[in-house]
Amino acid sequence: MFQQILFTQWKSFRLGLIPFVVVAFGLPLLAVQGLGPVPEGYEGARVALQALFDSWQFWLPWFPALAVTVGATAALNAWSWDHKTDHIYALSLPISRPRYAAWKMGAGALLVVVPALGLWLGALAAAASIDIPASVNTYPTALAVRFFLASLLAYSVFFALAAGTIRTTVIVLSSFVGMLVLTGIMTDYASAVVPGFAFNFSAWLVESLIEWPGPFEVFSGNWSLIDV
Amino acid sequence: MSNAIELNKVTYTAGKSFQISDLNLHVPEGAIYGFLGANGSGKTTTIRLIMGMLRAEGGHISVLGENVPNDMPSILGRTGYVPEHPHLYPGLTVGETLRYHASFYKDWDAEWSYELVEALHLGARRKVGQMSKGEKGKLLILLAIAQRPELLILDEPTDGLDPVVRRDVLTAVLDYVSHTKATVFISSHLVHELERFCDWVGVVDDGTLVIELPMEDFKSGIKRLKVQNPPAETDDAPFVVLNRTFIDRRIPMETWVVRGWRDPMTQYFERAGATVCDVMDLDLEEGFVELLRSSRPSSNGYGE
Repeated sequence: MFQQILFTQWKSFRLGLIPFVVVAFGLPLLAVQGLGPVPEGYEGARVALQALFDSWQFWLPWFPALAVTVGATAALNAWSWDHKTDHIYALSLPISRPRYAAWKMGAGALLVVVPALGLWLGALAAAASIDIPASVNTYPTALAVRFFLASLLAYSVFFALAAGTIRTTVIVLSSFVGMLVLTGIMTDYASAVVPGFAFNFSAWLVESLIEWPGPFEVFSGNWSLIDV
Repeated sequence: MSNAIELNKVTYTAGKSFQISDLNLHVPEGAIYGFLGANGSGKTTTIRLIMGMLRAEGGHISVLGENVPNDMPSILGRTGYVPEHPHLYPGLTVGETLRYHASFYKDWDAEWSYELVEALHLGARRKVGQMSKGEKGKLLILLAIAQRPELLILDEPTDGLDPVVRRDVLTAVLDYVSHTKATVFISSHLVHELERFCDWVGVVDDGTLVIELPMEDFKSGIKRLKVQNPPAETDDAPFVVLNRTFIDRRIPMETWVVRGWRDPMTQYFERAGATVCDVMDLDLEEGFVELLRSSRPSSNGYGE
């Protein structure tokens, strides 16, 4: 059963996976392109290392962005055929809804591995193509694992959102956003009128989400191919 | 005889304007039960309640002796379902669809399913998304019967199909039923189609069951009478008057459509000083139309 669910998702997503694999493979290579051999001496190594970090910094935002795109697309794809048929087929199958959703999610998660593998191979190729100073190491596997985890997290969030009808999703999202906006307004107002009370809700929220141990830390953590 | 499907006082509200209210339904095991109703009368909603796709707000539903919705996976494993609109995954081929579907059913008959693919001229390599409505209809029937179900629930399975495909579809169903004694619950607004092979009939209108009885009783019990000097009141009549129409306002002659008619009932008219000039059989479609006409609140009993 799981094999067949995996096959249907593979069949509906396989063409969509190709551009993601190409971009995931090419991104690490793009990030290190144009870097020459490391010159002799401390200063030369320092300059080369700086050039490497600068180039990586320029391309760095593309990695989490690609991970989110991969995860979201895989999640939307996982439900697309069911949405097209108003979930009637899925609901008529002799399987409990939680089990069906779990297996569907598992199948989609396996497909997310494919772009991560592409990125891993690209990172290995990029690491092999550059000349790095002696004290510096490359971490292609760690980068690929981070990319996979970020994709998986994005996939999980979008999978949950896409599981319901568009109406349900809109209600859930708008309620959530509305609640955040309302809380922000209330804390801003309280900060203005209550003496000694100062609280920036938005900053706190972002920090709580993307900094350790926030659930989305994987997007903001260390995406380096090269490190000391 | 136990019932394959049983609904007791089931209620469900869909939106602001439509409600299924206190719906009782009893589909005997082994029966071919025709579920009749006009478009929008609640047939598909009822079927989705039976299939556990919608949750009833009140009442009790049992299918094959199990409880809806608690025992759904088990019930669905024993039930073949053909929905009103084709619901299959468009990107799969027929062969892939069979394999996908088969993986959910322990009694799936793979050999027979491929025989049916040949018999119904489907082609295992055809993509579902590129198939015609008729071909999809045949594939849905194939999927429903190749899992060897004890119960087949068919929601307007032949709606929009050409006569040849319609015959193929119904033949496949009847062939399966004749070998397995499975129960069939088939909804349709194509009354004449059900007349040929259903042995039970239920009529639903505006979310309410109008009548439920064996097909023979339905067909033989609904008559059109030509009555001379008809009585004004019919409260004590031993039958149900569905409709009465003036033939000509200048003469005391009316056409009555009645349910539950038996020949000795002519005595009722004789006692009332009336004469039954003619008793005519109605086919299922005419009976269905008259039943619906009489069940609607706006009906005053006198048609024009």
